[in-house]
Amino acid sequence: MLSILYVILTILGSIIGFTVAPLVDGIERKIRAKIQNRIGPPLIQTWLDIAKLLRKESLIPRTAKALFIIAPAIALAMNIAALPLLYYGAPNVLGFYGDIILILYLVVGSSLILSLGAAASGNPYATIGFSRKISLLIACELVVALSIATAILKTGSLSLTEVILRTGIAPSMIIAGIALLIVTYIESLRLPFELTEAKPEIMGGIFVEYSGRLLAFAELSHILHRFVMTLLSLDILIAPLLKLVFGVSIMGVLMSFIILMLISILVLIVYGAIESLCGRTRIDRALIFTARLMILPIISLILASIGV
Amino acid sequence: MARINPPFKKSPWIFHLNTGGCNACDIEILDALTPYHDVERFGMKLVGTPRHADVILLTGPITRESKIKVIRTLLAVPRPFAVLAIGSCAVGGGIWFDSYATIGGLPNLYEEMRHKYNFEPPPTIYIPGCPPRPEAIIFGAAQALGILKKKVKREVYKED
Ligand code: SF4
Repeated sequence: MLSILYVILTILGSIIGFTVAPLVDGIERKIRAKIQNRIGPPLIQTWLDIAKLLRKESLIPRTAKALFIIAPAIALAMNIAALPLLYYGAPNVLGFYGDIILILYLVVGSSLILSLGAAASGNPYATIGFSRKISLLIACELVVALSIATAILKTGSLSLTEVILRTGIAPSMIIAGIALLIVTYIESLRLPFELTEAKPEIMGGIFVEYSGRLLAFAELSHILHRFVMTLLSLDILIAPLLKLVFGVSIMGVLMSFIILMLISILVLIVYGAIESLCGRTRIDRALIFTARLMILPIISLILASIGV
Repeated sequence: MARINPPFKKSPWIFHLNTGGCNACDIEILDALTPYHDVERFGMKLVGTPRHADVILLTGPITRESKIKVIRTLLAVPRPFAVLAIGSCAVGGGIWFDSYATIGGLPNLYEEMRHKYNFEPPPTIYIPGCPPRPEAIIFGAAQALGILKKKVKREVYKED
């Protein structure tokens, strides 16, 4: 009985994540407009954009390779596949031993394949975006991998659900969660770090040659990636706490589901508000910042290895 | 305007294409994009590449130097899209209508592209003025998208 509820909550969470992530993008735009004293677009604007792009013609440049065409679809599929593997406040019955590694692969792979596809377009702007994205990706994913290694080391399990169920309040996990949360901001290419798109500078960077349906897939997978990363870091940061407070009874699971969803949406909105106050930085500075951030997961790894 | 589908109306992404104008029109376009006029409430967004564009804001009389680049840009836009010809220059060449250095406005370019590239001209709105006010640009954009009705009809003068 309870396990059916768990499955339902996980699937419900994935569906909500899929539909709400673009809506949250609309809320972010609305907040940005309010900060600049404007009316701003309707909340469903991102869905409207995607609906429009799906109806447009997709042009394929002469210089493009086959990877250019299949990359957005693969990236979207990877992000959708990562959704039901996450922890939505209920023990994830769909998860399995080693799913945390798979999540890591999907998260890294989706942004990697998207930028590889861009590089296959043959456009010089896309190549600049690609080189920036790869440098940023290497720096960011090191932090992500170290934080997740902390979680694995702390609990000795390779399954996300077990990691969350086994940890109580551990300082090492909290530090790893904070590192993940900060790196999520960088990796989701929000404004000080929006180096790979940089519209006024490199004309949309990795997205420069995409049009129509391919662009819709790329945008959607980019937005979903933000949601997946945010939820993953919240899973590490506050899901153990929620489990401790509410337990895994029916009411407890429902409560932690709702709270986890609300907090992840709130975090995305706060990110959007921060973004509207920032200007773009340079790639070398972004790399130095990310490298300095590496100190957090290293501390958490040391703490986890001495068992705190 | 029959080719413009409803989702297109709600999220037009605009691309700014100067074809050799004096820059005053471009400054008016930038004015129309400021928070004061707030075109984002119509879902409009300035994009950096013609591949993402739904509406091309074309200014200037199309000089001989820029002609081939303008043609290649127009061919790079995925259909369906609309063009706004902004300023007297783009509408009909303006004060350079018979200069050797320009081809004298967008209609002449369409004529040439139709013959050479087999290019079917997209829905086009002409916004005269030197330069037109930002309100006029937004009004023209709303007409191009079918948000507002046109006030003038096309009339062709025929000699009896
Ligand atoms: S129409 Fe007037 S303001 Fe606009 S580009 Fe031509 S000369 Fe300049």
